[in-house]
Amino acid sequence: MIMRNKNGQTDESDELDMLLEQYMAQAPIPSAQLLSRTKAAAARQSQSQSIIWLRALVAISLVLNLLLFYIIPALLLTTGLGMWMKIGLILAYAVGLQLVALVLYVGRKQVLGWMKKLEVLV
Amino acid sequence: MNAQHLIARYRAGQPYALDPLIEESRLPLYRFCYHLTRSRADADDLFQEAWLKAVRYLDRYRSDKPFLPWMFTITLNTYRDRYRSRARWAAKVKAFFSEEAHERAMTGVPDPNSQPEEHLLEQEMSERLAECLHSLDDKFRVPLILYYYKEFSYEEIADMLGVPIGTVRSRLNTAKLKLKERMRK
Repeated sequence: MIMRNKNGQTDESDELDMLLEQYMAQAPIPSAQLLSRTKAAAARQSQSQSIIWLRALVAISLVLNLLLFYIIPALLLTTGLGMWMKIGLILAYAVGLQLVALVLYVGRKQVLGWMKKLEVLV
Repeated sequence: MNAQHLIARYRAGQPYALDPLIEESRLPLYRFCYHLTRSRADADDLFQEAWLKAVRYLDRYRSDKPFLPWMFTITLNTYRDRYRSRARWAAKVKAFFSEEAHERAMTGVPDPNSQPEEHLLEQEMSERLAECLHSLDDKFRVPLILYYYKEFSYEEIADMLGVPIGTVRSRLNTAKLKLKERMRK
C-alpha cells in the first residue's frame, strides 16, 4: 500500500508503520482529577503572579515615599544655604510634588495604561 | 476562542481563562506524556509540570504559531530535564513490576469480528513493539513518537527538537531500521 505523508512524499507503508500507528493510538486518557488539579495549579500560578506584582508595587511605593518625603527634604535641609532659602526650597519642592500629583491625577487614564503595559512586561 | 485570546485574558488576571486550553490539550498532550514516560504516574506528573512551565513562560509563546506544538516542545523539554536523567534501567524495573503492564494486557478488548488467535498475535506484536520502542535511545525514540503519534511534519519535529530537518529524517530512518532489527530478534 502506498501512503502519502504530511511532507508530500510517498512512503511504502509496511507492517511496522501500521503497527506503530496502532500502538501510538493506544494510550490511556487523563483522569478528571489530574485535569482539575492542573487547572487549579494554573489558576494559583496566575494569582501568585498578581501577588508578586502587588508586592513589587508596595516595595516601589515605599522606596518612593522614603525618597520623596524624607531623604530629598533632608538633603535640601543640609545644603549650605540660608534659613529662608532652605524654607523656600522646601516649599518649592512641596509645591512641585503637588503639581506632579495633579498631573498624575489629570492624566490618570494614560498612567493606568502605562501601568497595564508595565504589568504585561513584568 | 483562540489560544492568543485566552492567554491575554489569563494575563489580564482571569485565573481560569486557560481552562479551555487545558481541556483541549488533554488527550493529545497526556497521551504524548504517556508515550514518553510509559507510566501513568509519570505521565500525570509530566502533564502537570509541563502546564505549569507553560504558564510561567506564556510570554514566550508566539501567537503566529499553533499552540499545541508549542506545548509539545515544553513537554519534551520538561521530560528531558527531569525524566531522561533517570537511569533507564530503573524505569524498566518499574515497568516490569508495575501493574500497568498487566492492566494493559488485560484491558485489550478483542474485536468481536476478529479471531481470538489473531487478537492474541496482534497483542503480542504490540507488546513486542512497545518493548523494542522503549529500548531505543531517546534520540531515535522521540522523533518516532512525534511522527507516528501526532503525525507532525519533519519541519515541525525539527522545530520542536531544535535540529535540522535532515537530522530528523535520518534519525527517523535509523530509528525504523533499529526497530525492525530488534523486532526480528
